[in-house]
Amino acid sequence: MGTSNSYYNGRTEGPYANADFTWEAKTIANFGIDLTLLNKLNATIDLFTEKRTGILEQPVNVPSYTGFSFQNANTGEVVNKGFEASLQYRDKTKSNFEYYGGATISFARNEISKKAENYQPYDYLYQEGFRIGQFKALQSAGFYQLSDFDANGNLAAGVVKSTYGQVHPGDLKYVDQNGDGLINDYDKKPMRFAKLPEITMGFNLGCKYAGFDLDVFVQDVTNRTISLIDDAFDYTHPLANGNNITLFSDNPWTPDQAQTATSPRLSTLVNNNNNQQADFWLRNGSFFKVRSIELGYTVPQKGFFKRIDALRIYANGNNLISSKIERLEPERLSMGYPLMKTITAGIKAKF
Amino acid sequence: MKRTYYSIAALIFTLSFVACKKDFLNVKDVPANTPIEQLYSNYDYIQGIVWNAYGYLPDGFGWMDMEAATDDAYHTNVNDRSHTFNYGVWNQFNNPDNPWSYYFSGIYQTNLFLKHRGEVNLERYSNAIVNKDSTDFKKRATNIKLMEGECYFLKAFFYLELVKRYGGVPLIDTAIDYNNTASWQGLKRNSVDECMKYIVSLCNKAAVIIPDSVRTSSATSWYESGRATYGAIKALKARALLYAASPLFKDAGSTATWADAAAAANEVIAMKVYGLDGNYANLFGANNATSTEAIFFKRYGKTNGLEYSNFPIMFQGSNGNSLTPSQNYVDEFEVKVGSAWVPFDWSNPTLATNPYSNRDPRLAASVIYNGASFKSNTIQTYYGGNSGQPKQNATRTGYYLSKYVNSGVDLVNGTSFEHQWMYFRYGEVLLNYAEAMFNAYGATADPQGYGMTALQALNKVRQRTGVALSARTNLTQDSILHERRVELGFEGHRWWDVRRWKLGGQYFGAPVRSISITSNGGTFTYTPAKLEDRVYDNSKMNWYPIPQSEISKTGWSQNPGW
Repeated sequence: MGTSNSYYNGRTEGPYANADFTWEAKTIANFGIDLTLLNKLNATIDLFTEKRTGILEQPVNVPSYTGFSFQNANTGEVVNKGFEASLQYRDKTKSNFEYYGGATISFARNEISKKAENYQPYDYLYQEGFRIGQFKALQSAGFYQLSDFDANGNLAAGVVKSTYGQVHPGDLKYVDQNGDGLINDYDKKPMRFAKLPEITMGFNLGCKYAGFDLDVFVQDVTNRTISLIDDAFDYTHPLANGNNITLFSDNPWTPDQAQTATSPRLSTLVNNNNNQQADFWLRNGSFFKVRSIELGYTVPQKGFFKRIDALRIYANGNNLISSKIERLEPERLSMGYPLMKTITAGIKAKF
Repeated sequence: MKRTYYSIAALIFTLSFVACKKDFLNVKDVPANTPIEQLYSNYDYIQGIVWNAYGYLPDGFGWMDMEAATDDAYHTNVNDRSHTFNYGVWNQFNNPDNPWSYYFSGIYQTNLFLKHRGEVNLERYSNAIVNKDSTDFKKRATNIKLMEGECYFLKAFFYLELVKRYGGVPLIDTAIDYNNTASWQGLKRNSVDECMKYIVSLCNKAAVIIPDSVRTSSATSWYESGRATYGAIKALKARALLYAASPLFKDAGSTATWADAAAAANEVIAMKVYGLDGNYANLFGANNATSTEAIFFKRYGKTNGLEYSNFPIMFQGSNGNSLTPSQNYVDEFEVKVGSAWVPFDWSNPTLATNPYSNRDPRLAASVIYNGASFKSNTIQTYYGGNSGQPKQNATRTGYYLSKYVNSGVDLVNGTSFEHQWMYFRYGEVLLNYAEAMFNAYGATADPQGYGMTALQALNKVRQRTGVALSARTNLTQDSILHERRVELGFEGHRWWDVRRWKLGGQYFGAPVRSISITSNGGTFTYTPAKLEDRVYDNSKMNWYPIPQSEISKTGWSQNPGW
């Protein structure tokens, strides 16, 4: 008999096939207007409502005691509504000063209208009926204070208990949404938006005069929510798992700072209670960025420069100004590689 | 100029008609690599179905952390699922030990083999018989027959795992077909009694097919170690009937009697094949598969995950995922006072100063305590010691697990040793026998003439070589439960033993204790202290809730209280 083991591979039937397997379908109704006024103003406006059907997902209506496994079925549906508008104005004054300005705005709101989901005890726990990627989070109620605990270090009667870990004074306290005295996943309600922004705007300004030209492009995004737990975990959770400490935790909970604290008590031990999706960690994800500024000068074809067909000197900057969320760059919230700012200067000559 | 323009336009026009293929959006039916018929007619493939079914046997080492949901242990990792049980916050929506789908998939797998076993085509082996040497063909034909017995055994095993958790479950005797909705839609939960009777009938069917000589007889010596044997089938039946006769199952309608359980346990004893291992610690070491006590086990090969989790924190590489025995568990072990073995008592000052000397030898084989030697080091679990608080991830109870943990593993170099998890061993069978005989006939009666009374069976376990406790002179149910706790600790029995006797409120609802040790130079002061409160609701937690996702699809009524 010895101690050498042989491995045998198993086999099984594959999942039941979906005989009606087909493509997703998109039905869209779009109403658009294109207009030009006075040869100076161009406007395009589009309103749309779109429905996607036949999204593939695992079926959930067969009981598990059967032991069946299935391929995906075309049962999901999503509805998307919004509009896009774009305006451009271009003009020239009598003294040859050209200027133009434009704005584009797009808005889209989606909603999962059909999804195969298991039964949930509360309506707000479903994904159906909410936007894709909707944040579901606990509502914060400050911190656990010294008065919430009795002499033995246990929670006093009537104080809401957290099922995520042993809580101590200085840990995040949450609102018990369903009134069962416990904080667990059933208290996570849909809050704010999703990470994908609903409104994106772009502004474009420029002018040309006497050989100089200036172009500025600015982007603005709103109706967006980001979670520090998802995107900036290491930035906001100091010391546990050998992590470093950042400015985010410069005012942690201590018995002296109990009323004015802005982050939970410091600890080298992991406490899952403070790692849950909660509105304490959600931030308004809107941002404003000056994407590019370009300034150039086209040298007039006089004298020495007559032999050159065109000569332009320019300077170009990308990502020069950006708003910040919690001192972090708003698109990637990365503590690592920052968004690159570039300034380029150059000469373009055509012979 | 105009002509070239027209001809270019005409060329583009014609090309656009030729370029498109009209049907690339149509969904095509592509046959799978191996069609179903070939799966069952090919001998190797259909054997693969049975190997797959074996894969559904529970992961014993993976389930060990549930010992921390009992009063035997506390898990150092605050994210471990046992804490959900300890806070009492598990329910039909959130149950970390919820293998409902898992075991039904296993049952589906065994049913597939049982349904299709007649389709296997052995012609190419019968055609390959040369010189009248049909051993290969006979081996394959016999193997198919034995696999039927294995599938009955596995199905019974999976059903016992389901019933001991959830109570009555739907019994699926033949493979169901998705296209025949009448075979699977609207099934009702069978009663606990029907389920236990079914499990016993499956075991009986399997025992007829797999002979007790399957590994020893020359005709079937190719039967691999680790596959189901006659002893395994009978041991499963003994455990199933013991559970079925217990008060929790009786209350749910089971009609099995203690006498039935005693008879079933006796069938294993009467085989006269198994005996108690002379070295208790050997049962959990790298060579335990060869022990005479081993009946059915799962081989894991060379692993070291358990050691990385449970080595005392002084060893570099130990990751703090440890299952630490509680003071409740350590208190259970008896101590030798003079020449008699008595229960440990903290109010006795001599015992309290040296709580670990002269204890039941099984304590040292299961638990690493303060002052014990492990890997040539003395383990210090007192406050400030090399493996004690306040070191990060150190034990909070003052103990570390020793059972199944192989001290030969080198964490820094990542060496590993064979691990086998004992599903059934002879020690458990003797204790099952003792419990059943005691509850059926009393401590010293043997009306059926099995040759061993309850008292004798229990004493055999107590007095095994290397343990040698004094024999008991009388029995109570508590003494049997005590013996099970110290003998079978951390082998996945405590959680079920307490619940089937409906003692959950008394044991699992009581606080779990640790040991607080202060070092006074060379001596120590030991004070038991409370570690944490536990929550256990006796009115509902003895049965698991059926997963709510299943209830909403079937419309069954939930287990009472949930």
